[in-house]
Amino acid sequence: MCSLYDKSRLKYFTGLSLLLVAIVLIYKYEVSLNNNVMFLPPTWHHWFGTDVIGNDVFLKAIYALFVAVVTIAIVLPAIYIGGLIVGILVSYFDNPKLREFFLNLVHYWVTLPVLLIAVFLLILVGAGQGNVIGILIFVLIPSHSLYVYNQMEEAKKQDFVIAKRSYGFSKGYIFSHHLFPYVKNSFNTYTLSRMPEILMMDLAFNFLGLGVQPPHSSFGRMLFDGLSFMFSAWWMWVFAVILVILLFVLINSIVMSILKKEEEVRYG
Amino acid sequence: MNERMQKRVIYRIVFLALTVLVIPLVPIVIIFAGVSSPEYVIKGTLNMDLSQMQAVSYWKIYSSFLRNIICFDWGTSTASGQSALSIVSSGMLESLKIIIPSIIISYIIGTLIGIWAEKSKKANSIWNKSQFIFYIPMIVISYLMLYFLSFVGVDFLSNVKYVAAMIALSVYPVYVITNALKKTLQELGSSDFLVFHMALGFSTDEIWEKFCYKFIVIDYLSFFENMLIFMIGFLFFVETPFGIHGMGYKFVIAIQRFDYPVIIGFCIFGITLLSIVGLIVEAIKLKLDPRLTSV
Repeated sequence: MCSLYDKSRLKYFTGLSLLLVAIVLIYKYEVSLNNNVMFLPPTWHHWFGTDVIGNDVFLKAIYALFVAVVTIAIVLPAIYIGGLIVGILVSYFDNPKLREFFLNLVHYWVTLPVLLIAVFLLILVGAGQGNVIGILIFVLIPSHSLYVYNQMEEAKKQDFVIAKRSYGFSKGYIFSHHLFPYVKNSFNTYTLSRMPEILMMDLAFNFLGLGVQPPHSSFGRMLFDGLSFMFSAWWMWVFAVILVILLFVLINSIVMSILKKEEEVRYG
Repeated sequence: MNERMQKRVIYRIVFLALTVLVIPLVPIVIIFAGVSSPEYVIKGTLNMDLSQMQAVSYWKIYSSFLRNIICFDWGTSTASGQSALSIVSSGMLESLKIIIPSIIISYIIGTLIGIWAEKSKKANSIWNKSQFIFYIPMIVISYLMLYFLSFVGVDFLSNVKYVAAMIALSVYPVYVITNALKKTLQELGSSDFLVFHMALGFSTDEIWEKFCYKFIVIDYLSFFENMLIFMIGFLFFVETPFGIHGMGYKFVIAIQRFDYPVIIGFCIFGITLLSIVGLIVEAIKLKLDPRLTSV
């Protein structure tokens, strides 16, 4: 499905990750030996400088990167599975009333300001990255299931599905052996293409202070904290900005390479 | 109004009503489940004029909240003492100064880039290579612009802040419109529809004028709702850095002060506004697009 699964690339990513972990561990040990000074610009001992209470900005940025990656790693499979189950169930039990209700509900849901609703729910359940992840899953599943449903309905019209039906194959068999494999690839791509959206929402929640709580950090929180020191302590936000850009560019390149692969498979 | 339209409208109204019914449950949970700070519980109690909270039934509290919400009386801000409605409406007026030009700019620039990329192969290749720029979150763009403005000596507290915020807000919509327009142009250019009408004796220009522009307008209308959702949702990403006292900025302040009446006010306002916009857009689409009514 994805060039990321290529062995050479996988080795490259694993090696790079291990190197990063090793650097961070050594750096953390070195930093712990120093007395941290507040508002220190980038130096040899503090690569990204220090913040208003003397925390090392490099370590904060690495932690924020970790939080962003973990959030994606949890939300993406969860919405994939949730969307798949709901979408398939609605398509499988083709009760017209139920279907109409579901479609209208999802259409209504996707026209709502999902971010506002998510913030509203977050205030209700309390701040914290765990809650952010849970609410992200909750608000993103409906549109995901709608995608699966639409794909399934389109697949049902294909000649091979009609032929299988006429042979007398059971509905369950057709769903598991023909419809699911048919929609799987485009659904994988659609799920991966939502990575920027997830990251953006995560950034928004943390910017509002509803995600990771101090003393831990996140990109959103770092950007918000950096706003007050935009001109006096540029290092408090510049490195966060650079890492966010790199993360989005990386995600974009992954999504694009997958789209390209899929197009090659589909159109030759 | 045809049957399909009627059903859609009814469903939307029913779901909107359900949303309004659910929202008053939230403050009750906040108060009784102890989610909020005790300070808010006291202020909330005073706001509702419920001096003996324990003795009052849940239903009375719920119905009181519901009545207030329906009457657009969202209480007073626990931080400033102003009415939540006035905070929301003043914020909206300020935000409209950014949202309306952003929508117009997004459509114009998106259309121009889309046509340009479709007409020239070189332009298309440049567009494909530079797409990642549009993926960059608007908060990052806002920060960079703010720093750049300060660096070149522009007073970013003047009206320039509106222009900068507008640009930051329209980056992603431009990307969406360009890609969608490109796709529509490609599909229309290679469609049976075009070949069929050419066979009937219509010239290409005539076909475009009579049918294709209409499809593009319908397409644009479909983005409008999503674009508004996106812009209202992420407004605080541009308003907070530039210090524009619009809805987004006030929303951030309200969240940091745990100012629940204002937060609830913003949420109800956002949901109601976008539901109404959705209904209007759908009605226009059904009126314009014969494909929707004939199926």
